[in-house]
Amino acid sequence: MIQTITLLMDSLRMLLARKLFWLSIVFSVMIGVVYLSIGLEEDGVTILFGLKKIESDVLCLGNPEGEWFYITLFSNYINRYWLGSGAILLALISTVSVFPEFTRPGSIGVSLSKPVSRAKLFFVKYLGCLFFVGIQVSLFAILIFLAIGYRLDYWNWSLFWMVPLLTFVFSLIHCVQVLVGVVTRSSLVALLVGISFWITVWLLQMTEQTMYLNSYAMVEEKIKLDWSSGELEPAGSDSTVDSQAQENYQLVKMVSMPFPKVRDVTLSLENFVTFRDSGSILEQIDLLKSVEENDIQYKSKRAERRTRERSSMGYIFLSSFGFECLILAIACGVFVRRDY
Amino acid sequence: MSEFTSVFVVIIRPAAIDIMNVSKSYRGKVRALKDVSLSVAHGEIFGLLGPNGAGKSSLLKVLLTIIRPNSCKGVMLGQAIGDKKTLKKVGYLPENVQFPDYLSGRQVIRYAAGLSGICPKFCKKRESELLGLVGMEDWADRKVRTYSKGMKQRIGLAQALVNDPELVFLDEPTDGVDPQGRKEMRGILKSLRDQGRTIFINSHLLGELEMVCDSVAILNHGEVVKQGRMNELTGSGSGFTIEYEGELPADLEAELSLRGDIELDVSKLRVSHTSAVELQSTIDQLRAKNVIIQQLVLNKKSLEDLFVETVAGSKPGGVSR
Repeated sequence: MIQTITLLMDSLRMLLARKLFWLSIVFSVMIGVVYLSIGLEEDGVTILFGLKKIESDVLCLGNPEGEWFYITLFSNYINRYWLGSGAILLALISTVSVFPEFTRPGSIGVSLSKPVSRAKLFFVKYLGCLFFVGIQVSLFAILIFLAIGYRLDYWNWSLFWMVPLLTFVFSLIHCVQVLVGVVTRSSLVALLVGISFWITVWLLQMTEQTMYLNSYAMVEEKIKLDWSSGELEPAGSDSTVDSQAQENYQLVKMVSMPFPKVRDVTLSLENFVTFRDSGSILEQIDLLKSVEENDIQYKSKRAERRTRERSSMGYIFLSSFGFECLILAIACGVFVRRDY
Repeated sequence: MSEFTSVFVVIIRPAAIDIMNVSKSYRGKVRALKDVSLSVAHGEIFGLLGPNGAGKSSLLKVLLTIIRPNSCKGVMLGQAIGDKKTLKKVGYLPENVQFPDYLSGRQVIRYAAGLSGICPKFCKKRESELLGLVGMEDWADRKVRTYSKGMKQRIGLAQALVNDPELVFLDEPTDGVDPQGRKEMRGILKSLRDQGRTIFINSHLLGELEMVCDSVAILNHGEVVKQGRMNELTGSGSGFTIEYEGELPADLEAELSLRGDIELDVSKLRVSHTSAVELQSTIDQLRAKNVIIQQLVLNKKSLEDLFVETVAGSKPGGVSR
């Protein structure tokens, strides 16, 4: 236990010593404070704690649209762009050198010559890296929790799902960096491979999703995309299933199956971080209900929803976790068996 | 008169390190260690010498489980080599030690203590003692990145001793340390030996080793080419040199020149025998003629002479004692 605490304390010290850690914290706090500074008043929206006011009859205090606006601002923009991308990128850059530095000559010897197993050293060190995102997201979650609670008098505890979910997203890419870092002992190579891997799996998932939409979901809804105009149009009664497209999709799905579903896990936040029904008309405008059943937009939305739900949460999380375990097992194996 | 039967119980303490047939090849190509066998007694300062690339650090890393040998038989502190628990009783200062630059000297010692499983209460007491021992009290709370190489070595030594080890491995401990620091380091090593600890030093600074080591081994091309007690290896002496003032009286000079065991030189004479008893008569002869003796030196082979002679003359294959 003393050894574990020592290693975790060392990770904490390492994080606190990194400028990028503080930069991430500063960004998180800034974004959180800016969000908190947005207020709803009876005649509109104020920003920067009342420094500027935008008058509105719709987005105002007491109006359900005001609450809808405040929550949408978080879930559609802050969550997606800062937490889902920016914060994780900074965390990846900050932690990439942990293993290459740890394993450099003259440094690793001190740790390996102690009565502690190499596997324990490896996993506790890895866990220490997850602290980075854990601390950062926790701080951010607290700020958002306070902002929504203060502005809307709505204390939403589900916001704290952000912490494990985004830490998990980070770990899916970071494990690859760790493997490369342990093998090559180069921070630069580990970073390049890690970022490239992130982009690759993101593209792979986008491709798989788009192919499913076109080859299954839209076919079932009997709509198709007119590639020349980019518009959706009815497929017509004589349309046939494009078996070649479906075969291609199956191939892409098979290829993407062992890889982590980084994008899907990030998007799954919507399932975990839930908000109460604001009662806003804007929220009520559901194309699924408001337009005719045969309307092309309705079918398009239904195809999109079908696409979103093409994989179960269990599949997304377990396959991603399986990938992480496999990569970590390989990295740990290399770390344990290596001569330093 | 009654007869007593005396029973002497001789307790033979096993060697601190006793290894045989240690071999290590890197990627199957470079043979760093070839069937190395050596023994280090408890409570002595043992020096492992060798030119660069001889395999000194590799041998030390094998003992500390930092690298995995291809073959290794033997024990360290009574346990098989590779036993992690044994490392609780072992301290290690690596060559060119690098500590994370975000840690202070004190935190380095605490880190080493924590990994050794030492409780914080004991560690606090111990760290103050050690910082005093290595003369780093005033710098203990500064970050390692502000340290000179010598200061890093001092902190490195302190962290190596934090678990109160029975056996301490030091890889080039005086590298980068100033002359004053080296002297202090020698003092520390001797006091550690006096406390009953075993010290295993890897170094190419022969002068340093000569002053502290009780026994040495010379490693060359991955093989132990010579090992033994220091005084046995450097010899009990190859004779004496007597330096005197002025010139010898002619009759004495003539008398001494007839002796086969004496070689005359300007203001000095070399006696080839190593017996102090036999030397007395020569001194008496000189004194009888009022020759002023300035200096009397026992001619010994230096460790450097031994090293150069051994390494230059060694061929892969065997060990001499």
